[in-house]
Amino acid sequence: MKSQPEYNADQLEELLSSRLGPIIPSTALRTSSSPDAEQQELVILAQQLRTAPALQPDPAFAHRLERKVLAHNGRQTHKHTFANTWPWLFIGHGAQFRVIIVLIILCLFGGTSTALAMASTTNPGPDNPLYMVKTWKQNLQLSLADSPQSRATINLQITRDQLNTMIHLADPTHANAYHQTMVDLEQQIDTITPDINALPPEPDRQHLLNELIALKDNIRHTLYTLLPKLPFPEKLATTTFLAHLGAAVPIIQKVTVTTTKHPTLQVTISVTGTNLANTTRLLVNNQPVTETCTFQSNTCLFVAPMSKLNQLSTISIINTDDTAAQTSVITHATTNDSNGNNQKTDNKKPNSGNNTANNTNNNEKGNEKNNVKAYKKVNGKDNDKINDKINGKGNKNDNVKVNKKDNGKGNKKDNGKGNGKSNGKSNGKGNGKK
Amino acid sequence: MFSWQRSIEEAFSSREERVPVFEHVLKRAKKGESEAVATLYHHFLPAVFGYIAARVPDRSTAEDLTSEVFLKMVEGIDKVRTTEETGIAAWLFQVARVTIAGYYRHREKQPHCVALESSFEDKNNTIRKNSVTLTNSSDTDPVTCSESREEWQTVVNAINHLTEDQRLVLVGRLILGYDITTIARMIGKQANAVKALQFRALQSLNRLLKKANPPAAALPAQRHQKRREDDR
Repeated sequence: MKSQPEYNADQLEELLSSRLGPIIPSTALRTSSSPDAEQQELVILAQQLRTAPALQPDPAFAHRLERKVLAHNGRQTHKHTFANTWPWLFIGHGAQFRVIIVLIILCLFGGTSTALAMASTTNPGPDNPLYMVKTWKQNLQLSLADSPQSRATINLQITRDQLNTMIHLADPTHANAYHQTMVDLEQQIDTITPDINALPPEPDRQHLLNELIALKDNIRHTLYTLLPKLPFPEKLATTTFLAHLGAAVPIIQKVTVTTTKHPTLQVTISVTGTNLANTTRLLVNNQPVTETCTFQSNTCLFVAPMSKLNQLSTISIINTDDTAAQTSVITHATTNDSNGNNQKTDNKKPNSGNNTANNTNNNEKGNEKNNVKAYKKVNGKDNDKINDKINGKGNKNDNVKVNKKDNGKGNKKDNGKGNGKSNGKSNGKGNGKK
Repeated sequence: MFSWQRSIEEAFSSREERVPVFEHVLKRAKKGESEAVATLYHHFLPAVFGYIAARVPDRSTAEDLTSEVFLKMVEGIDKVRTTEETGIAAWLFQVARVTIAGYYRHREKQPHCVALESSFEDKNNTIRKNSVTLTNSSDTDPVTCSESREEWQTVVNAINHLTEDQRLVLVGRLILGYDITTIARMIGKQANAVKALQFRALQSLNRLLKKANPPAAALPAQRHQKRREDDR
């Protein structure tokens, strides 16, 4: 048995189902007073609601809204198509974009850190792109140093890094990079030494000085270990650097090549210098010769057949520890017999401007003598002429030319000075006064 | 409204046929096909507009809010899991409800506008006296418009006093033309409960309108028509 409310609800539903069709005029219903008058009123109300103009969408509005909805649908479809192609961009909407940006930043950061770390750990040489990163990092560290002491400390570390880099470049394939690094290292030492010396006398200064001394020792020791691995030009350069660091290295002061015709045609090469030994080996034009050294009073004598020694341009020596020296200033002498009679000396080859300190030193000391000899030889016939040229207002170029030919570019200045003196002297002696 | 309903009935000729047709249309709409989206739009526009218009004071606001609802439909249609018509209807009404709530929240935050004229009623009376002799058409009669607007506000207030379920039943039953079973599925209740909701909704509405307008519970259009008949 249904309750009254349920009955009323059912009755209303029946009425609505039957009446929700054509509109029934309200006047016909309002006047009725049947027991279900309320139901009738409710049905009328329902019908009125259903047909109320206020609840009907305006056709123009509907048309406008339809276009707007379809346009929005088009945009959404395009967005979803892109999202399906790149779903990872759109998952989580804004959060995903933030994650992507964070990842990009991390990659950039990581890449930079990796480059810096690699630059620090792999000891890149000047031929490596990371060298610039390393240099930049070192300069940055120096610029951020807040005191001379910290700056000196950083410079010492940079020096150690350069030494480590040299170690890794000590092979024939990295000759240029090795050379450049060595030059940088030498400059670095030349820079930090006065900087540390200029520090105020505090405990830090002595500590830093001790560190510098220890570092120089380490560099010397390291260079000696690198010498065997290096090609000959780098041996020469390293030997020069060792000399700069105060190591005992061979120095050529004079080379004399004496050609003896009798009884056999042979050549004696006399190399005079310091830190030579009977184990010193000879190289002629950078080619080793098998003849051994006869060591005598700081002079190594090498005797070889003439055929081996054609067109001498450079004479080099190398010790057992692979330190080396080279010169192109060679004094030639010819003797008819082994006793040295009828000697003629000749300064044959010019200085080709080789890069050894030994050679430079040699030239500074020996150029005067060489120039005198050359002058004498050249002026065997034309002595007056040359004297006129030197002492007169005329052409000094000849003299310079002669000197240049003898001694090369590097010693032009010295030659100028030496020549003036020696020529003056020789003129005075040989030719009387003008 | 009949034209809308006819189009729907033509599109979905019988209930049995409507189900697979609707699911097919919905599937295409989720993919973004314009034709399917348009079909859904036309199908649900009367109900959504009627639901919103019955709850807001003026037509322009109802149109704005209806636009919002259908734009959200386009944005969210592919995320809706249901494939049934009643499920989509329930979802749209939920969106509409949230949209209307947002509208009223926004309106509350706005400062109350005070009319510059001293007395609105005095002015209205003056206009009314003058307009009786001047106006020719009831459609353009500002008095009628004013009265209609005010009375419709009464209806809106009355509908807003109903519960949400009651509102959904009325809209589903009267505008969408759903039967009791379908509405029951839409709002998640039993059929008997839906009948009871329907009865109580109309009864409450009738009582509220009678209370607001003592002579009769007629809606504005019908009351105006009655007044004109009385004037004659």
